[in-house]
Parts: sequence; C-alpha cells; structure tokens
Amino acid sequence: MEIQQLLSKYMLEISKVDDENKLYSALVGILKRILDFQVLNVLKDKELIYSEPWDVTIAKEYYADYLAWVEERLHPTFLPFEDIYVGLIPIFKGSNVLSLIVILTTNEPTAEVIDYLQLIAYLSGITLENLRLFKIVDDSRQYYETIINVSNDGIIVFKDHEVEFKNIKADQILNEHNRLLDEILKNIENRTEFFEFEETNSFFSVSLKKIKLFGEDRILVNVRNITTEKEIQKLKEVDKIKTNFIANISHELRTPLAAIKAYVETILSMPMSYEEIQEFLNIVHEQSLRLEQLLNDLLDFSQLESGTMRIVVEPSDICDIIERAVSAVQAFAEEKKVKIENECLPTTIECDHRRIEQVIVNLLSNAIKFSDPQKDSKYARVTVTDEGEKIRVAVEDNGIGIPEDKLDKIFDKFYRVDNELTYAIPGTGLGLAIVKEIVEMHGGEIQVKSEVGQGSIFEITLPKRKNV
Amino acid sequence: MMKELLGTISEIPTPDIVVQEIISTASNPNASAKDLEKVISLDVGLSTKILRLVNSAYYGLPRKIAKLSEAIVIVGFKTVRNLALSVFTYSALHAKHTFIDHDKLWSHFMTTAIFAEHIAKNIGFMNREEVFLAGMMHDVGKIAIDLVFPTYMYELAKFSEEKQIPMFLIEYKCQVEDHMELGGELLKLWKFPDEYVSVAWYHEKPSLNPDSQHVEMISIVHLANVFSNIFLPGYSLSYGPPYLDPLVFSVLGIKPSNLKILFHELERVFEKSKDMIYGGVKDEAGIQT
Repeated sequence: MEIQQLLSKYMLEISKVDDENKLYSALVGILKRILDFQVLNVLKDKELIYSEPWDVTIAKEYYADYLAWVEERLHPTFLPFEDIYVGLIPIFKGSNVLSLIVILTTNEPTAEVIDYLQLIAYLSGITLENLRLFKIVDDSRQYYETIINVSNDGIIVFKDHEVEFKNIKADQILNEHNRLLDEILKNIENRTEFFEFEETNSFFSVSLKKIKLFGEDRILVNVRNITTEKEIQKLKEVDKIKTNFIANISHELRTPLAAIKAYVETILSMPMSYEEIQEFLNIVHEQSLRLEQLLNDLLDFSQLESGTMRIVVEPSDICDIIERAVSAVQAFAEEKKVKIENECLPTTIECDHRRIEQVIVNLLSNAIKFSDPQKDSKYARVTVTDEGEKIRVAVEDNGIGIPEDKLDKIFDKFYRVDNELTYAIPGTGLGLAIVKEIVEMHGGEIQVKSEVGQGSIFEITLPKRKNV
Repeated sequence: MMKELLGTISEIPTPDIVVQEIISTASNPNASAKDLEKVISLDVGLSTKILRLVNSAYYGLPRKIAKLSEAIVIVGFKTVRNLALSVFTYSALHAKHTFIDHDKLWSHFMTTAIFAEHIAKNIGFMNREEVFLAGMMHDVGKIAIDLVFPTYMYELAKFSEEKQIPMFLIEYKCQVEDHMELGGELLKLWKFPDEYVSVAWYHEKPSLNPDSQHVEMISIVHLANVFSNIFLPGYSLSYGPPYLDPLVFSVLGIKPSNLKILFHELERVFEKSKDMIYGGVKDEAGIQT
C-alpha cells in the first residue's frame, strides 16, 4: 500500500532529524503526498516558525478564533471557505500542544486523509517532544557548564584516582603548577579534606570532598587561588605591627625624656650637694644616651626604609670591632649581671666597622636584655671562626630563648616576640631588622638557633673581601 | 436462551437503512464530506438533530455551523457518525414505555461515552471517536433485556438498589445470560465491528480477558463507566459501590493517585456536557442549546 510506504518513509526520516525545521520539512513531504496543499505554516505559541513556501503566510483571520478550540480538541480540523479549506493540525504529546500546522488547500479532505493526519500528528508529536526535551537537557547542560567554567575556582572530579572532569580554571592551574596534581592525589590517599599548596609565590587552598554520583564514589576537589588573600593578610599584619610600633616608640621616647626632665627639675629646684648633682647628672647622661640610641635606630630605620643607607668599606680587624662593642655594653652587662666572654682571633675583613660594631652591640644588648633572671651564671659569648673566604661571628647566650614559631619573624621590621603592649622589656622591634639589613649589605648572612629556656645563638657570616 | 430470541423478537430495534448507510459511509476511507452529508440528508430530522448537537456547548465551537458538510470537516466524519448513532440509540432506548427510567439510562450512556473520550484523549489514545461510540454502546444489553423482559429488568434494578449490589454481580449469581453478553450479541447483530462487541462483553471486568486485542478500549470504557456511576449514581440501573478493575492501571499507564486529578477534570467535562447528557436527542424542542 502506498500510504504505508509513505508512513514508513516518514518514520525513518523523523527518526533521524536533529532539529525542528528538519521535522517540518519531512512533514511537508508526506503531507504533500497525502493532501496536496498550497501553503503550510507552522505555529508555535501562536508565532509563525516555519512556512512552505518559505515566505507565504496564511491570514490569521481564517482561523484565529479556532486556535483555542483546536488545541483543546487535539484533532485535525478543516474550516471550509468558498473555494478553499484551512486545515488545523495540532502536533501534540499527551494533552500538550507542541505546535500547530496550518495548511491552505483547495482539496477537500476525505475521512481517510483526516485519519492519516491524526496519525502523523501523533508520530510527529513524539519526535517533536523528544527534540524539545533534548534541547532542554542540552541547554541546561550548557548552562551549568558555563557557570562551572566561569568560576574562579578550579573544580576537579576524581574517580578511582583519575581525573574524570575538570573545569577550565582547574586545567589552567594544573598546567601552571605541575606538583599540584601529585599533591592532590597524595591527599586523596590520606583522606585529608583540606590543604594549602604554595608554589612560586602562588597560594592555593584545596578542599576535597567525597561525593556519590550515580551511586559511585567520587572526590570533588575545589582549588581556590588565595594568593591575593594571603597578601592582604600580610599587609594587614604589617599594618597592625606599624600601629603597635607607633605606640611602642612613643613609650620608648617618653621614658628617658621623663627621667631627664624629672632629674633636671629636681636639680634646678632644690639645693643639692655636688655628689648628689653628680649622681643625678649621670642618670641624665645615661638616659640621654638611651634616647640617642633610639633616635639612631629610627634614623637607621628610615634610611633602611628609603633605601638610602650606605656603608663605607675599609679593612678593619674584627677583634678591634668586637672589643669596642663589648666595652660599649659592659656597663649594661654589669648592671644585669651578665658575664661577657670574648674569644677572638685577629682577622682583617673589609667592612664598615662602625656598622659591624653596631651589629655586634645590638646582638650583645639583646643577649643581655633577654638574659634569664632565674639563672645563677648568665653569660653572653662572642666567638669568631675563620672559614677561609668568610668569617663567622657567633653571639651565644643562656637567656630566655625564642619560641620556635617566632624564629622566622624576629628579623621582620617592628617585630617583638611579646608583640603586646606590655613594655616588660624595652625595645623598638627595629634592632634585628637593622642588623639583618647591615649584614646583607655586606654580602653576609645572619642565622639564629634558639631554644626556650636554654638560650640563643645568632651567627653572622661575613665575606672577608667585600666586592662593591 | 435470551440470546436466541434477540434476532427474532420484533421489539428489538435494528438500525434502519439510513443509520446503516451512515455507519458504512463514515467508515469508508474514500468517503467525502458530501457523500456523508447526502446519506444523512435521507432522514430529514436527523441532519437537524446532528447540527443541534454539533452546536451544543459540549463541542464549544467558536462559530455556529449551519451546514452538515461544514460540520463533517470541522468536527470530523467519525464524530458526525457518532452523533447519528447517538440519535439512533436514543430512539432505540425510547422505543417502548417500560418500568424503568429511560432518560436516566440515556444520561448514563452519554456520560460514559463523553468520559471515555476524555480519558482516551488524556492518556493519548488515538481512536477517540471509537472509544466514544464504545462508551455509548457498552450497556445496550440493558435495552435488550428491558425490551424483551421488562418486569425482569425492573426487578433486577430494584434488587440492585435494595441490596446495593452492582447489577452484573446479581446476574452472575443468578447464572443467567447477563447484560454484557446480550449487549455483545446485539452489537454483532447490528454489524458493529469486533471492538464494540468486546467492550460490551468485558466492560464490567476487563481482567476477565486481559489478553483481548481491545483491552485498552475495554479498560477506558470500564473506567469511564465507573466514573459515570459515581457522577450519576443509579442512572445505569446498577447500584452499590462500583467495581474498579486494577487491570486498568497497568493497561492505561496511570497511577491510582492520578484518579483524583482525573475526577476533577471529569467534573469540568461533566459541567460542560450537561446539554448532551440531559437534553438528549428527544426532539428539536427538547434540546437545550
């Protein structure tokens, strides 16, 4: 039978279509054979979406009042006019009208034609619904894919230790940081849920989460670049330290100034013996030296900050320098009952001797300042070792020591281990930062080893010949 | 016994020549609207009655249809055929005064037909017009019993009402030829295709023949019949809680929870169809439009 062949041909055609227009073009083919028509329009939500011939529209006046009726009835209908028929064929699935075929024909439809039209409407409805469902699925896939790919976080899904999915960001991060993938795999193995990863000044926080997808275990990994956050965090710390520093330095400046003022006022306002005046003036002198030291530190620091600190290199004997430094702190040491030991072997090095003296004075002052009051014999020991090209100067003490987690920060500007506004021990927090800067300007290095309660060793290595 | 009587008793109406022509023309694939119009015009009153029905609120057409040929292309050949057969069924039902209320039984026929068509549309069953006609004809066995043994029919209906037991269960217990079997026989006699005979036969309990070729149509009419008995209790002369065969769920692919939604849809359909259900096809004056 011809009609059966037409139908099988049509079903084969629509089984292959991948967009709506191809379906309508197949529909045009079979309708032409079943009921020859002059014009065919396809409406979706009352809008024209397809026509054959392509630019001909059937006037809506013919059928507009029947639209709702035919969509409710879900059956092909033909409206007779003088010498034409306007056919309305709803394409539907269930009771859902997917589109409406409107045809204009001069041929009167027979009972059989209407039956076939209904059959074709059913078949096309199934295909059309599938096409639209597929489009919905595809659109939503694209929607989520776009969202996942514009995310600033790397998203990776692992299945059985293999990358099953990664978004664009993850791909980019993994390419730039080869070590990261191994690190993630290691953490999957260890069942850690979070770790931080650092490489070439980039910081990442990585979280791993076990999820079930389609009944199978997978690991969802989220990689976030936190470099900026880390930098901001650092800046905030620096800001806090600076605030502390200002409070600190004001206190440090006021203390000797208050003492000087008080003693001088006493001298001026009271009759005193020469000895008494002598004693008072000594204190005033001592405090003014302290003030001077502070101001020197500040000056050094501002030079250090602005990069204007200069060193004047000349050959000097390290032992001379150390001796001068020791004698500079002698009084302070005696006051604190700290014994200073000096084991030096005379070596000539090229350096700025005033600056190196300053370094050693600073280290010794720290050793004395942070001596342990609970110990009976307190000492600070300076030793010099010749290491060929370099010399090593070590300042060792049996003071209170530095907690391990603070060791890497003590050379930071403004940093004080107590870091609170306690003023238990005076200091600006600038000393070691200046020391480090001076040592490094000489091409040397400074290292520290320390144990709380046992003491600290600061070691400086300096090249004997300074290449400027 | 009754079965053998069906063909011989003169009280049993048979479709007249015009109705037979209409059936054959509407099922002839090559028939045009003009062919069908010509046949219907043979019965002068019929065209008018059909046009009245087509223009009723049930079809809700946006324009009034004045010509039969228009009605045929707009609502379809099969719908016009169904309307012609409705007119015939109505007159068969009202052929003789007996002890039962024929108007109520008519309302039951029409409600079942309309509900069946709606259910078919709802579940995406293609042959909606056939389902409508099968719904219209499912209980013709009751016409036959009533015409041949009016007293028996009356007693049957009374007993069903008193005991609140569905009629087909009483017939089953009495071991007599029941209205389903007689309906089937009558439809055979009237030369209706097999599917209508099957529907008449199994509409009370589709699971009696789950392998029937027409099990979908049987199940649709069964469900429509159940709802029809809920909407118009006792109109079918059968009383008591209607029996719902669980087979319909698997055959029609619906869930028991869907029935509530379906019930509300049918409420709407019922409201819209009142002119068809109550107005009947009496005469021109009696039709509510």
